[in-house]
Amino acid sequence: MSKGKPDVLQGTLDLLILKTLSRGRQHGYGIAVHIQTVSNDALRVEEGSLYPALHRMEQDGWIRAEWGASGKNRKAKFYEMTAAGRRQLSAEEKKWQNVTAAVGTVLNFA
Amino acid sequence: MSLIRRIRDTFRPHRLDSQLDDEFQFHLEQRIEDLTAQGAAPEEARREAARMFGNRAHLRESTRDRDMLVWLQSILQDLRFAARNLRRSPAFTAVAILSLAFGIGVNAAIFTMVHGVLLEKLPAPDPQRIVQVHGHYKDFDNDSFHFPVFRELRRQRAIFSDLIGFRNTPVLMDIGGSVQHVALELVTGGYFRFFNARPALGRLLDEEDDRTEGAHPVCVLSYDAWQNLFGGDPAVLRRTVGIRGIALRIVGVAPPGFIGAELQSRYDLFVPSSESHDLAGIPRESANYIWLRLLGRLQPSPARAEASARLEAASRTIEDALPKGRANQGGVYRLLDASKGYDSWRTALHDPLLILMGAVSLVLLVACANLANLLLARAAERRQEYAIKLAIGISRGRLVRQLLVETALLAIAGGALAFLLSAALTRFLLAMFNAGSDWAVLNVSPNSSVLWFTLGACLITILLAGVYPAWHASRTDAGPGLKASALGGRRNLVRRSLILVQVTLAVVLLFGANLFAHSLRNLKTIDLGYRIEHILSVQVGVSGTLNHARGSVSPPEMREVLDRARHLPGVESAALSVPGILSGNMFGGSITLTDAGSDRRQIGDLGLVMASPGFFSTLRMTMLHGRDFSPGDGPGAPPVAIVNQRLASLAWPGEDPIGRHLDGWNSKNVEVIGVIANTRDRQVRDASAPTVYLAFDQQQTLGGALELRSSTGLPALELAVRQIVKSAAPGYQVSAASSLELLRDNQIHQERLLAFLSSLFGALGATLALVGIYGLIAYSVRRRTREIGIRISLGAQKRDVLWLFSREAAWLIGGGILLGIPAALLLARFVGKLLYQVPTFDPAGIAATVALLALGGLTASVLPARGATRVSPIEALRED
Repeated sequence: MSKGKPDVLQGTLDLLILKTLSRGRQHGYGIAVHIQTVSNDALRVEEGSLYPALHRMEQDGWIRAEWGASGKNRKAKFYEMTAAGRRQLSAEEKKWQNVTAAVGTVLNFA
Repeated sequence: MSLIRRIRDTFRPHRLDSQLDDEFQFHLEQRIEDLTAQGAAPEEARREAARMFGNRAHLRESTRDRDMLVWLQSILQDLRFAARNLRRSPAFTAVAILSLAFGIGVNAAIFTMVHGVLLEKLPAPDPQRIVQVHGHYKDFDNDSFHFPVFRELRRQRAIFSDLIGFRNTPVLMDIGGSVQHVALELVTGGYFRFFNARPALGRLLDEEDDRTEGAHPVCVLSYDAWQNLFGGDPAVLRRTVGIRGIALRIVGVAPPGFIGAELQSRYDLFVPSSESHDLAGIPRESANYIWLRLLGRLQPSPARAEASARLEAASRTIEDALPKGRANQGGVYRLLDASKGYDSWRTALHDPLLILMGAVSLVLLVACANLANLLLARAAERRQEYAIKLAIGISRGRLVRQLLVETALLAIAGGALAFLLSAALTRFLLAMFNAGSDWAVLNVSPNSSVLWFTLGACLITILLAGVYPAWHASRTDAGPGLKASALGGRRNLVRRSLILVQVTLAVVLLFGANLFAHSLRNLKTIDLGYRIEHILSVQVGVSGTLNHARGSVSPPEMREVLDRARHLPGVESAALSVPGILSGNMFGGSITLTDAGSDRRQIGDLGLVMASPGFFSTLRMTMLHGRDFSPGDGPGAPPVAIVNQRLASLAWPGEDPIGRHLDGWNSKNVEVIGVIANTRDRQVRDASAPTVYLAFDQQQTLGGALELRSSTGLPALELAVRQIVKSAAPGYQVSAASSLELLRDNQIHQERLLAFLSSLFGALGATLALVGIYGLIAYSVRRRTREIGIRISLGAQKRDVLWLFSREAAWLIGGGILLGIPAALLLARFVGKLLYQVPTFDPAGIAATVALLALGGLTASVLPARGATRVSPIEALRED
């Protein structure tokens, strides 16, 4: 594991992927780059977790995949959020906010 | 949807792999591009991208697993492995599959019957509320009623939401000049609505068709009759058919598969009950003709028991509303469940079918034991393979699963074969059931329930036969298992117990088969009081007659037929009688003794037969006193009668009946001229009733049965008689012709069927058990080759070696017999009431069963043991 760039917390990966896809369809590489860029290089998604996660979420019906042409007219697999994915995203967001709020409270208390 | 895709992807892993590769490749190329754009050298960018990506093959596998059902994939692997294994041992596979196919096949076939007859509901709305009306009278029960009863019962709106009446009767139908024997169903107006039936063509009958007696000469064809008699011609709606001179307009065709009120019956055309007088000689409004069967649908409440109680309570009121002086007075009406259709013989088939179902279950158990035994033997021979697998790290669970999959594959193959087998067997059974009866047609066919049953039987087989061997195999120890010569003693104990169970079950099955065969033998050898061999019986009658219609005295046509038939080549003697011997019909009646001092005593419940001269001698009945009818006892002569022994002792105990007088049927002051020995002329099973024989030529008849004793072939004779009837008796028809032996066989149909099927299942069970013994001994011979070699080299004789193995078989067979006999005796009590004069403790039967199994079992053990005697000691010792 590379230093300084912690791997994404287990369980939050789904949230990050869904959030990324809520902006529109994207291929795997694009998702990884987006998360890394937006977090100012703080979060880096490993390929080894990204692709199994994408395929699992596809089987779960949160996202759907489609082969298409990328910007440079190359064949790429694009992922897109489904209605079920949208519901999952809002649930995960709420959960995340609850957890961070709780953790914040604990930290402030001490 | 997702599951379907995953299953689909599971079956094409290569396609999935290449798609993943494409996706990863794109990722890598993008990364390289970005790194290059940030200033890296192309070679370095490629290396860095690959490093960041990590182990591509590993990622492909972990991603692919998300797309596939991992368990399904590994089961597919197991299946391929199992199929390869089975192919490698064809003898084992064949025996296993065949045992299962027969075991499951006979079960599915009998279940098809059980389902069709005992389980299937009538295809009508709310079948669970359908009931049949049952009449209970002082001395008897009756399920048929006269029409006024139907009308009164229909007024009971609080009980019935719907009530229909129907009556099936055979008639001759004239279709444009060609005359066909058909089954006519007289129905009340609401009949088709009751079943919610939609016409296949034209319209069906309704209340309007059934209003006024004799005013609605219309009919609806059954779908089959439309197809078979009219070739499915749509123009049939413009045609008419003739029955007893009445032209009936065809107004419609019933839907295909419409079965009416009974699940098992044949109908060709449906006619409103308003035509009953013209078509069947039954005046509809008369309260003296008992003919209509009633089926009702209850109101949603109360339930059947309560509804039946209420109807019973209302019986008196209903009776009071009916015409006075009717037949069957003072009845009490009750309701019986008819959700599975009108019950004319379902109840009679209930016990035989359940017994057959029990028998085939035992056969399946024997087959399961066989399979378990084969699997255990196989597992023992593959101990080394399992030990190696366990040693290199396969989990015990996976090993169990592999073995279960192998069993499952066998069960599925056996099950598929069983399904085909059962379809053939069902056809065969139906042919047997329906043989000798044109009208009561049992019509069942395999359906989805039967398929589910077969699948269930397969599953049970896997559980019964596969689980223990698989579990046992998985407990192989990797260490000692690798040593080839390690032998397990316990496993043989299990295998021996299985053989013991098989022999026990075979004893039970064979014993049961013997009981039914014995019962059949008893029925066939009953002394009927006459000889049925070489006798042809031809029923000749006016078309469409019912018993109630009146005829004429000594019609010249019938005299002519008899006279010509007597002169046919090969005919020794011939006679006419009504209703015909073994026809199953009987005229009941009563006589009044008219001599002085007899107080005009009435004797009821008599059998009534009309017989021509020569009847008794043709049938070789025994005349005890007096004389036979003679040609002189004609229409003008004083009326005469012959009585049987039972009637003689009932009417004139201790006196000579000859010369006494009686009134009976339509005759007054009939003189008794002879006494005949008792006979069973109606039913094989019924002891002879007190019977009075009247002179055929002095009574009104509508034809009769021509009985001929002949030395030539009966089929040729039948043709000749039909020819005579056609040319000598216009207006008369041959309605049935059969040898008396066939009539007798038809009466003991159920016994014949039970005897045949139980023998079949007994033979099947015994064969499976013998195959099991053969397998055990053959395995044991293989395993002990070295030992045999040593024994032979130390001087053992062939006899000693044979005995070494046969002894084992003898113990198992003896033990199985000892266990089987008490079990069989216990179970025999359940079949007792289906047997005819067979003691359930039947020493001869037990001896036969024991001898059969002992002989078969020893043969099954000596065959493989003979192989052992040919073992060459040198080669045997060189093994390993």
